[in-house]
Amino acid sequence: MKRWLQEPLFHFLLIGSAVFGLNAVFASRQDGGRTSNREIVVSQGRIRSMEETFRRQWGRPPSADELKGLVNDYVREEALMREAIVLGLDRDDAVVRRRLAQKMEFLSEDAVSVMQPTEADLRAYLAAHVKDFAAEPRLTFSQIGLDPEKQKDAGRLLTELNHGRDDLETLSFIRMLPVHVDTMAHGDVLTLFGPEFTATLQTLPRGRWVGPVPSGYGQHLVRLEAIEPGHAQSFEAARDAVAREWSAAKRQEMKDAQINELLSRYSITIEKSAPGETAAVKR
Amino acid sequence: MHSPIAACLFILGIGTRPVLAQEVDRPDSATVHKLFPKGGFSPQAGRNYPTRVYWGDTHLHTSASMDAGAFGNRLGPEDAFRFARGEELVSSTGLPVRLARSLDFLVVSDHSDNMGFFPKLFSGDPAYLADPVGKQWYDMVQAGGQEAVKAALDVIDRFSKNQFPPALASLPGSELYRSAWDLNIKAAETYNSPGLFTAFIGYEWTSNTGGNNLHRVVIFRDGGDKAGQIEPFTTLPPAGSDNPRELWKWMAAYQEKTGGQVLAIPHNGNLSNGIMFPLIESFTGKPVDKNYVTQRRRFEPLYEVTQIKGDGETHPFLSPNDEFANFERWDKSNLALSAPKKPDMFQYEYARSALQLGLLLEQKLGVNPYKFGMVGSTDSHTSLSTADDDNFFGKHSGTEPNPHRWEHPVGCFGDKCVMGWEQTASGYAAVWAKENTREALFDAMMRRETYATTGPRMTVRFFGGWDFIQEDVHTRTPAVPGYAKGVPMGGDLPKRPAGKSPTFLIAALKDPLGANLDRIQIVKGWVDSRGNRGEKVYDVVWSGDRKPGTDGKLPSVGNTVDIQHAVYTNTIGAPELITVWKDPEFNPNLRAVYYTRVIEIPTPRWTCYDAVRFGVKMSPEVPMLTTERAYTSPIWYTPSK
Repeated sequence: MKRWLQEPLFHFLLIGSAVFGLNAVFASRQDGGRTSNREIVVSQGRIRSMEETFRRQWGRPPSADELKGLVNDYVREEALMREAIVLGLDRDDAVVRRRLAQKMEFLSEDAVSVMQPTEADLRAYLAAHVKDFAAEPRLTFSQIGLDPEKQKDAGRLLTELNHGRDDLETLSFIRMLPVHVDTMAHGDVLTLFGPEFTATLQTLPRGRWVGPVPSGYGQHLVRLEAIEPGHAQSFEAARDAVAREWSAAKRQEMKDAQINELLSRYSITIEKSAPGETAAVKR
Repeated sequence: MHSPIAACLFILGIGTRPVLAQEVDRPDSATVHKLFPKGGFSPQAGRNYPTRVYWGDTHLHTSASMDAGAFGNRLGPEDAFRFARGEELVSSTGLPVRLARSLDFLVVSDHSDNMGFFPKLFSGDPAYLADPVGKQWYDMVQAGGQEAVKAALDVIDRFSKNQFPPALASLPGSELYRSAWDLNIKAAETYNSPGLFTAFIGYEWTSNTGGNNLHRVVIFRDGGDKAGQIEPFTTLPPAGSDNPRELWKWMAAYQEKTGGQVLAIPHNGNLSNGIMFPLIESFTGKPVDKNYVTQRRRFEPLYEVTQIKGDGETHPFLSPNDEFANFERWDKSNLALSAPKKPDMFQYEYARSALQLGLLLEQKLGVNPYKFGMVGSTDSHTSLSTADDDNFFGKHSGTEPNPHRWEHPVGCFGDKCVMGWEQTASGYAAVWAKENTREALFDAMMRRETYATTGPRMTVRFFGGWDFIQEDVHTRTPAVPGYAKGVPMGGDLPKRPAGKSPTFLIAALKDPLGANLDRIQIVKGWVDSRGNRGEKVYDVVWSGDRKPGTDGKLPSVGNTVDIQHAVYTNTIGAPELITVWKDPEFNPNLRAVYYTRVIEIPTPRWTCYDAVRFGVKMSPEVPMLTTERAYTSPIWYTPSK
């Protein structure tokens, strides 16, 4: 790239002339009979609000001079602000951009916060998400941890266990894990034994000792007794949880809907970096 | 007495005949066997003690905290609860994030001072923007990134220097404050599901005078019907105070007024510059008195011993012979980086020495104010309770994962900074309770049946008594002899039978998703007859067939971490360690305190995961390894008179 193209002075001149040109375009467009845009009215309501802000900040009402100053500042600010918008300066300003975007988001938040679900809404939500509100499956099984030094004894142990050996607590290499697990919720089995073991457990045949089955602790011999399937909860039992999830889902849905609706009004192009050039975002 | 029913009848005074005293003695063993026949399918049936540990974070900030919001946190209390329950969220910096495992409970503990200020500032409230400082903060926050971090630090700085703009303050009694507190309560009430997930109501009281950290998290046992009757205690006079005695008065008044119950958990003594566990009160310059020790003991059953702003178990200066003492130190100054650390401050800052100081005060005043149990928590300001090194989202939203977070300051005051890499990915609170409810967990905290970990979820049992024998670890799960023959962590040894030394049953099971265990240690503290503190660390059980050297030190377990790939293997260490240990140097005339420290094999520190994932090279002073650990609540011995 030519060196002068990178000079700040060049950028300044370029921006300056662009601004000047845009100004001319917009000014002429806006002048087309809409003189109201050239009129600044400071209403009584606005003045009262300025007084109130002053009072909260300083703990006293403004004097007549101070109020005059406030009004003059407001008029100045209004004029500058309007011209700045005409020049598109708001678009270059990260703070202004974020603030405006945020105001839009607050609008949709407000809309959600006043929404109250009817019973029909909640019943429909529950029906659509039965699984999320179902009681967990419960698992009943016995297990012993194998001594890593004696892995080769696993086969003999399995035979003994399947022939009625029952001194499991003495036998288990891991003493802090229960050898008998009685109708434990799936999530608790997961916490205690880890995901690998829990997944395998559910595929095992019932009523006899099998293994070895690996876990985060080592190898186990396991006898699965029963899996009580998770059952759907009644509407009454699930009501509070459903209301909570409905609100959270609705909030997200509204946000997504709003942004999708807005985006549908635009055609969006994201330019690719030219070959050889470093991508701006590297992941 | 032959049955529990008869015992009840007796107690109710409706026995059918006069009963002699010896008949209400313990049931004989034949009766016990009848009641609890061996070999029953479900040994849990009839067991009236906690059989599982619940995991949680007692200390988490959301966007409702004045500094968290300014740091860029856009997630509120509801998001925090959803995340803790295991749901996937998008972090404030736009990164999808989820815990490997859900937590069982969470305390959202936003700062009580200026609660509600930040959301109002962020909404662009005109009155706030009319204030020059408010306008400046607002613009910095909107600019985001490091500018927002600066804004947050300025919020903290002005607050701790008492220069917070009055027009921006949110004070109890105002409508703004009320609505902020109501939001906190509402979020906890919405997400509290007894039996499944406990959402505690809570807040942080942030006493920070002179930049010295005396912060406490206050936790309610109660629901909104009681917690809603009051507003949190703040540090600003006239309604608030920076003196913990005033907080305890507030707590007593709350309990009086509502019939509810609260507890407080102090944290970061390491940033208090010698005033967290005082013998001389910093507020008066006088020795702590009977009132101080009584109130502290009543309201502060726990200490948060490890968290992101450093580990607080002990310090190499205090424990020069402890090779694991040099761990995740934040020891340069106070919290505000405004006053440097002096070595004589350490003993009043760390849990281990404080436990010994407590014995000393008990000797003098009859009450031990530092009879605390241990928990770990994150103190994250991101609404994300992340303590796993491979999933660490940092102290605040300015330190969420990015290639440069290790070299950016977490905070600077003046020209002094704490750098990103110094953050500790820690910790969680483990609570042995009978069920997952506010009441059960709170009661377990009050009896100190808790332990701290630096993140991993190892299961740890610790029982003290006079009759444990090695055989106890070979027959049944440790809890059975543990509860039958002794007291659990947090308890007091019963009266000493003549001639006996204390015995302890200690067991630790690795995190099923984590690293193997290197060793279990018992840390003993005491105070001698002249009032001198003493401490000793004993290795009591370890993996492999290592033999202690001539210096008594156990050789290192080794290291399997591959720093280039941020991986380790469980080819060293043990999945489980259990033993019974008897104090070989017991002096029955001296008060003593014992707690357990469980050490994992070395694993990659969060900085190592960052270095690999972002492909960055960090400076040589940045540690790439960590040795995660657990600290249990102690068991105390008191000589009988």
